[in-house]
Amino acid sequence: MAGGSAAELILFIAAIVIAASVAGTLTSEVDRVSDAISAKSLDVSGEIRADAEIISDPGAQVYNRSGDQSVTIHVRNTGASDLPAEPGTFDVLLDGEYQTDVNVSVVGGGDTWHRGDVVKLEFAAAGLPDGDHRLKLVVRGDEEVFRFRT
Amino acid sequence: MGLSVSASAGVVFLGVFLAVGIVYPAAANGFEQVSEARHDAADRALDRANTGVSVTNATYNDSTDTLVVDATNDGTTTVDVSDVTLLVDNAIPAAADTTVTVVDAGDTDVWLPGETVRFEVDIASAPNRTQVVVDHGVRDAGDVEVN
Repeated sequence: MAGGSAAELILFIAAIVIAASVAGTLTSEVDRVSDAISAKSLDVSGEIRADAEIISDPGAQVYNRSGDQSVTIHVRNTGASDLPAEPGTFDVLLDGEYQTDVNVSVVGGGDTWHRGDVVKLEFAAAGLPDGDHRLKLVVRGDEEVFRFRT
Repeated sequence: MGLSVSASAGVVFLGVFLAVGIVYPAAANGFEQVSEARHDAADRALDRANTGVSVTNATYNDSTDTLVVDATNDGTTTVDVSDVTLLVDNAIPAAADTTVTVVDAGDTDVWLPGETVRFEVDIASAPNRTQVVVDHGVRDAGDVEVN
């Protein structure tokens, strides 16, 4: 009789331990998923709020304006968030080629690209052949295409 | 045997309740953040559609080295004069060389629908094109006439 209740006690403890480990694993995994949901929703809302517009005039000269064979464009922050005015904020592709050395400066000074502010992006493109060109700008997931002729 | 089944079921249910309690606020907050951002974006799109500008006159005076650009707000939104960007041949003239005034409105920073803004820029040589950019990137360009 005593042997029977000892076996039952062992089974009871085993059942509780297994149930607790199942519940523990479930809550810890759900905690991770909810962390990921929080981070992702923050990213997505940031991407929706960020918006930029290339305001340069393709009808005027874009390439080699200052005589140093560089491309200069002006970009306005038309979104609802302030962004850092640093090369990491902007991905620039000229004719499909990624530009690594992009010089960024806020018109009017400062390090932050506030809403409504304009930044000047300048990068060297030595020997750009005459003809049609396509510049693609990506700012926080917002893509802009600017076509011009040299 | 009966007790261990109900006890372990209770523990598992407790875990499920905890998990729901953890995931619900995160999902609700995330949804609210994204829907708020979408609402903002829709508001911006509406504002952009209602904003309009047109360059009515761009004249360069050769004798005084001054470029005069007149632009009219032909949208239905109010524009901040300080947020307006003037591009002359794709370059932004220095603020010190540029005077911006709302015609017949005195000292103001708001450019109301129907009003005209006059830019006067000291510039050494005659430019070819000029462009006025207002909120949301709405813009209009025009060729410069030389007098």
